[in-house]
Amino acid sequence: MAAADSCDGISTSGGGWEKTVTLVSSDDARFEVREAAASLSQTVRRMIRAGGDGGIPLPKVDARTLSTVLEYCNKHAAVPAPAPESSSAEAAAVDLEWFDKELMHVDLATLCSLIRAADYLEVAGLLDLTCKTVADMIKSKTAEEIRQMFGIQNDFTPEEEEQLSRENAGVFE
Amino acid sequence: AAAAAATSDGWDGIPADVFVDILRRIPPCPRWRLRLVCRHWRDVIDERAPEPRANVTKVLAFIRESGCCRAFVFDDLTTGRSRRWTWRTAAFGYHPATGQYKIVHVLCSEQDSNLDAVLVFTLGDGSWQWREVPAPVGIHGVTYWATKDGKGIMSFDLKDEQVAPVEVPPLPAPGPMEWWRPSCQLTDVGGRLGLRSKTKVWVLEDGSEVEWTWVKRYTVLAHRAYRRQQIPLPHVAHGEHVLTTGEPWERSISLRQTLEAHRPRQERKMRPCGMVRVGAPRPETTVGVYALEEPSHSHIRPRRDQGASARVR
Repeated sequence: MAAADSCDGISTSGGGWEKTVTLVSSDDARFEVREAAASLSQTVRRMIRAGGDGGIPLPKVDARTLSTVLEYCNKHAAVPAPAPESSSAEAAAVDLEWFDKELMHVDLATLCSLIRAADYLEVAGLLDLTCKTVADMIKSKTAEEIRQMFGIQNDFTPEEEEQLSRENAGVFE
Repeated sequence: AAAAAATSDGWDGIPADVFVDILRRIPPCPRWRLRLVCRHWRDVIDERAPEPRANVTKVLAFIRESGCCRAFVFDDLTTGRSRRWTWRTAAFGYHPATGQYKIVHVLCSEQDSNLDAVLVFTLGDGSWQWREVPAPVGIHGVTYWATKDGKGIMSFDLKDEQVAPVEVPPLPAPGPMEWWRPSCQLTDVGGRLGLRSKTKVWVLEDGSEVEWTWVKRYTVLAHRAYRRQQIPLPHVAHGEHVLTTGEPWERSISLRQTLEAHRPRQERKMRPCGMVRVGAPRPETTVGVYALEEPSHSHIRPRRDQGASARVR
């Protein structure tokens, strides 16, 4: 990691041409990130503006989740904005799509952690991506499969269950 | 299934707004099914991501009379406000994105044959006017029609313009008296393609283009004396209620045609097919009787015990 600039957690690295910030996870891991990438998180952006010493603490996100979030931010912040019709723009969009798809190849618990992190950090693109992924996962599952997936107890009384299956029978099932 | 269930601080830690966001991304049919997961899911779906159809209670019933056909639209079954007009060929559809009901009227009789245009009527837009639309209009992105002999179904996908045959379930031979309409006819059952033949209604599961699965959904049995008893087209069901039209003998002369709403019974041997027993000794399954003889406003006679305002969704 580059030496942190003492004043406000913002450091200057390399030739001094790109600003970075240090983010600190709940389990005290420190991540040095380009400010442009970190600013995809509205929460971090506000904290950068507010200033502070010794890195930006993110007590609700563990290191493993934060590293995935930052992977997303680095990738999405790195893409320059070329002319919209150019072939390179198209290639960049395809590349990003691939990247997103690969990033979502995780188990459900990880996905849930990512959703909570994206919500807390206010990374809109990642929240959208993760919500879409969960919606796609559950939309073709039966109620029982979903209970198993999420460890949910069926807390309906037999009467309620009867009522629900009646409603279901009439409408879609 | 995924044995590695998300730990309690996994799924349970999902903020309420995010959960609602996820639910709203799921199409209405599967979302409705998710109400069965647990109380919390049911309550969240009912309160924050309700199925749009739940708020709109419209019923269209085509009634055949001597030499003419009329269509009745019930704006609201709880008040019985209805609208009618004569028709020749019409299709009725509901679009989940706009929440609008539309009637498409194809002009194909000899004097007004003008097949490059169809008339479209949007329910509830306030205008009560037919609009001419210059191109064919699809319902739900796919138009279906039954072949002339009533033995087959074709589909036309408005997106890729593919015409394709749809496999038909084995249909019983036309009966001699009870259900006079000979061929199978298509209908909309809760947003799915339905097929009506005599006393039975099938529903095409999922509408997946790869695998068509017809599931028998309702069987109607008429008890006692009913005249011209039938399941009305284009809609056989309104929410959880199955509709029938007919002329019950025992009613007064002024009450000729009636539209009735029935709650199908889940009889054990027949599952998952719901049984509708019209005029049965146990009339508690009939939740509403609506008269159809008035020109613009039909008066309504809900059953005293249940009331037509009983949950209609």
